[in-house]
Amino acid sequence: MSEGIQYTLDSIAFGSLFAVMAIGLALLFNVMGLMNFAYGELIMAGAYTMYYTRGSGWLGMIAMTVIVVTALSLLMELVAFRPLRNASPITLLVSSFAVSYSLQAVGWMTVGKGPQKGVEPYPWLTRQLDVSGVLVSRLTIITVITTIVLLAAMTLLLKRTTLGIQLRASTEDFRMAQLVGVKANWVISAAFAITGLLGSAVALLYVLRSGSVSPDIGLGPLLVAFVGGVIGGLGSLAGAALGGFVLGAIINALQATLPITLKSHTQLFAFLAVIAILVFQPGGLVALRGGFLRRFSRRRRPADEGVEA
Amino acid sequence: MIGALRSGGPMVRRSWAPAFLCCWLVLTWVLVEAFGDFFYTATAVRMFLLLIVVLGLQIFSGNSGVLSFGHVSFMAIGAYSSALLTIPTEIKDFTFLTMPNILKSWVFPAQLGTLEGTLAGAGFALVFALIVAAPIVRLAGVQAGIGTLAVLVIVQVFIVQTSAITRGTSTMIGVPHTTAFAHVLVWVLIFLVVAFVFQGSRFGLRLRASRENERAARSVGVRVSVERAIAWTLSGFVVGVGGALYGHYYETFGPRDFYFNTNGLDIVLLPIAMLVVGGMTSVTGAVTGCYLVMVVYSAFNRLEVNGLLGAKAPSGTTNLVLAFVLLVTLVLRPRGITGGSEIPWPSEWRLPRRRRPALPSEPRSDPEQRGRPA
Amino acid sequence: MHYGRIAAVQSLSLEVNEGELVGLVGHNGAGKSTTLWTITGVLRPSAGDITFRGQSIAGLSPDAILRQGISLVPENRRIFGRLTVGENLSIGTSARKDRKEAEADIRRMCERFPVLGTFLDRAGSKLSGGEQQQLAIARALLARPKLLLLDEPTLGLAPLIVDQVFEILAELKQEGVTMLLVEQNAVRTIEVADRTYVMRSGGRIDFQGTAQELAGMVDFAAAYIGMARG
Repeated sequence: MSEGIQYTLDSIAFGSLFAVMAIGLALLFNVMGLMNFAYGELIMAGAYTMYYTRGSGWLGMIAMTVIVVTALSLLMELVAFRPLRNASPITLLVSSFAVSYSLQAVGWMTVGKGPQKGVEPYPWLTRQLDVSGVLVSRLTIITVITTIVLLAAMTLLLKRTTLGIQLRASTEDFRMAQLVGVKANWVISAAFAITGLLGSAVALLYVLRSGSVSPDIGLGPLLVAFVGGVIGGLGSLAGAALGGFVLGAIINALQATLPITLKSHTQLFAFLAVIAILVFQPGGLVALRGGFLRRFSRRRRPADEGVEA
Repeated sequence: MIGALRSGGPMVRRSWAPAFLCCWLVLTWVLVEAFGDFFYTATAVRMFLLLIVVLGLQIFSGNSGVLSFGHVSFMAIGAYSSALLTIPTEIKDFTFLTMPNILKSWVFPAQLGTLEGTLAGAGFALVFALIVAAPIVRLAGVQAGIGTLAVLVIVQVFIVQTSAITRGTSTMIGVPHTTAFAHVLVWVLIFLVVAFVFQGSRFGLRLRASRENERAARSVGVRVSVERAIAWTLSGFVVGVGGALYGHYYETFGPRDFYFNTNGLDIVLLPIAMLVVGGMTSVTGAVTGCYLVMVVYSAFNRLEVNGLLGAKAPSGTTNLVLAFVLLVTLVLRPRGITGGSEIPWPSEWRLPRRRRPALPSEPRSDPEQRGRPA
Repeated sequence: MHYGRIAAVQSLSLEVNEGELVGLVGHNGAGKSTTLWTITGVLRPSAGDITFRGQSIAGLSPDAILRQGISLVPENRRIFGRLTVGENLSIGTSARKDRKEAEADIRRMCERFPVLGTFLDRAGSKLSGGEQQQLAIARALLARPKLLLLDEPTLGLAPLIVDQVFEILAELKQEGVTMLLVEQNAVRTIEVADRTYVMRSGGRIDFQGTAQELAGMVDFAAAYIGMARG
C-alpha cells in the first residue's frame, strides 16, 4: 500500500516536470505559432552546464544553469526565429528542427565526445524521508514544490503584471496586440526568456533524477511534453500543463506497473492518442476556442492576419 | 522535326523538364560508374536512394502543400517487409526464433526474387499508407506536421518493440544484395516520370488547386481529402520501394536507420531539407535540392573523415552545416532555389533579374512584399 | 495634418484633415478594410506613400504607427475575449508613458461608457456586441490618438445599438477627434461626416464630397444608396 503511495508521489513529481515543460512549449506556440523542437536542446544545455559546474556547490550550479539556458533561449530567438517572425507555422516547425539539429550537432562536436558523462545525484537529495509510513525522497518533494512554485509564479505573472497581460493578449490575438501598441519584440523575447527559465528548472530536476548527460538527452522529455501538450490542448497554458502532467504521470505509473509486454508500447499508444486528438479534437482535451485556432487554418482572412503570403 | 523542337509544341514542352532531368541523372550514373572510386559510388547510390524518398515526398507534400515528417516510416516498412520476404529461409530459421507461428508459416518459406521482393515491400508500405491516410489527410499545416511525426514515432516504436517480427534493435541479417546502382537508377527514372505525370494529371491539378486555396478548391468540387489520400498512398508506395532497395543494397539495417539520428546522416530531416532547399512545389526542385544538399553533405563529411590539408573538421560539422543551410534557405528564399518552377524550355532561359533597390519616394515594385490587395 | 496618397490594387488617393470626420463607404470587398490595414501597417503598400503629419509612415510596424498617433477600432471589434474589461482597457494604454494620466484616462472612459465601469472584471467575451464595440472604441481612444480609424463599427449590431454608436461618433467629432470612418451604412455616414469618399470595387474612388455635394449627384444617389430623388 505504501508502495502504491510512493509510486503515486513519484508519478506526480515526474508528471509535474512535464507540466512545466509543456507550458514553455505552449507559450511559444501561442505567441508565435512556433512549435519549438529545439526545446529539448535547452535541456541538453542545462544538463551539460550542470556537469561542468557540479563541483561549484549547488547554488553555483543552479545559478549557472539558469543563466546559460535562458541565454541560449534568447539567442535562439534572436538568431533563428526573429528573421522568420511572420512565417507560416510549418516553416517555423521545420526551422525549429533545423535549430534542434544544429544544437545537437554542436553538442556532439564539443561536449559529447568521449566517455559517457554523468552528474552524481546528491546524497542529500536521494535520502528518503519518512512521511507517516511512506518513504519519499527529498528530490521528489523538491520537484513537486518547485513545480507548484513555478506554476504559481507563472499564474501571477500572467494575471497581475503588465507583461502578463500583454503576453495573454498576444497569445490570443497577436496582430491586435500590436495594433494597441504592444511591442512585438519585447513580448516574444519575454516569452523565450520565460521558456528558458522554465527549461532550466526542468533540466535541473530531470538531470538530478536520472544522472546521465548526453547530447540527445532532450529528445525524450521533449516528446512527452509535446504529446502531453497537444493532448491537453496547446491553446491554453493551463490545458497544456494539465496534459503534460497527466501524460508524464501516466507514463511513469505504467512503467512501474504494466507487464513487460505492454509497457514497452506506451510510447506507441501515446502517439496514437495524439493522432486521435488531432483528428477529432484539435484544440486538445481542454479545448478552448480562441485566437490561436486561427493559426491552424491555412487560409487567413485578411482582417485577421493580413500579412501571410 | 527540328522546327517542332525549336518552337516546341505543347507535348514536347511538357516532356522537356523530365527528359532533361532524366538525362542529367543518367549522365551522373555514367560518370560515376566510369570514373568514380568507391567513395563516389557510395555517395551517388545514397543520393539516388534519397532521391527516391524525396520524389515520394514531393508527390505528396509538393502538390498538396502539406509537409510530412513521417515518410521515412514508409521506407522502414518497405525495407522490413521486403527483407522478411527475401531473406533465405535457412537464415530466417535461426534469426527469427520468436516469430509467432501464424506469420512463420508464410514468411519463412517466402524467398522472393528481386523485383517481387521490392514490389511486395512497397505493397506493404502502400497498404499502411492507405490505413493511415484516413486521419492524416484531414490535417493541414502544423497539425499535419505533428500527425505525420506521430506516425513516424509509432512505426519506430513498433519496430523496436515487436522484436519477434523485426528483431527489435538488432540489425537485419541476411538480406540478399540484389540491388545494384543500375537498379536504383532505373527506379529513380521511373519515379521521376511518375512524379511529373502525377503533377500534370487531373489528380495533381486538383491537389495543387487545394494547395493554393483550399476553400476555393472545395467550392469547385475538389474533394480535398480524397485527392490528398491519392497522393499520400502513391508517395507511400514510392518511398516503400526506396526502402526495399535500401535494404537490398546495404544488406543490413536496423530501426535507427529510419529514425532521427543526430550523430550521422539523418534520414528524417535530410529529405525535407532537400525538398525545401530545392523548392517543394516542383520536381526539378526535388532533384536540385537532392543534388545540392548531397554535394554539401558529402563534402563536409569528407572533411570530417579525411580532413583537408591535415586538419579534420570535428564530427557533427556536417549536420551543423546542413541545418544552417536549411535555416538560411527558409529565411532568404522560402520557396527554394527553383522557386517552385520546373526547368524552362531553353528559349525561355533568362538571367535572374536584378531587383532595383527601392528609393524612398519611388514606388516599390517588389514582387515578394507581403501586402496583398483585397 | 493629412496623409497623402496610398496605393492599394488600383491607385487610391485619400486625405484627412485635422478635426475632420471623413467617411469611406462602398460595396463589400471594395477594399475599404484593406485601406485601413495598409494605413495601420499590417499590409504594406505596393506603390505610393502614406504621410502622416508630414512624415512618411509606409512600412512601419503596427505598434510604431500607433506611437505615431494612429489608432484603429478594427472590424468585428476584436477585443481580447480572454482578458477582462479592465485588462482590455489597460492594454490600450500600452504605448503611453504617462502612467498616472493613463490611469486617470481609464477612469474617465469608465465614466463615459458606464457599462464598461460596471463590468470591469468581466471577461471580454461575455459582453454583448454593443458593449464590445464601446470597449473597442474606448481601448482605441486610450492611446490618445491623433487619428482614429474605425472599421465598420456598426457591423452586426442591432439598430438601437447602431444609433448609440453613431451618437458616440458625433460626440467624438464634437470633441475634435479626427476620424476616418469606414462603413457599410452609407446614409448615416454621409450625414455625420464632413466629407465622404465612395469607393467602388477594386479601390477606385468614384465620388467624394460633403453631404450636400453627394446628395446633389443624381446618379450617385440612385446607384449607391437608392435614395429617392429630391
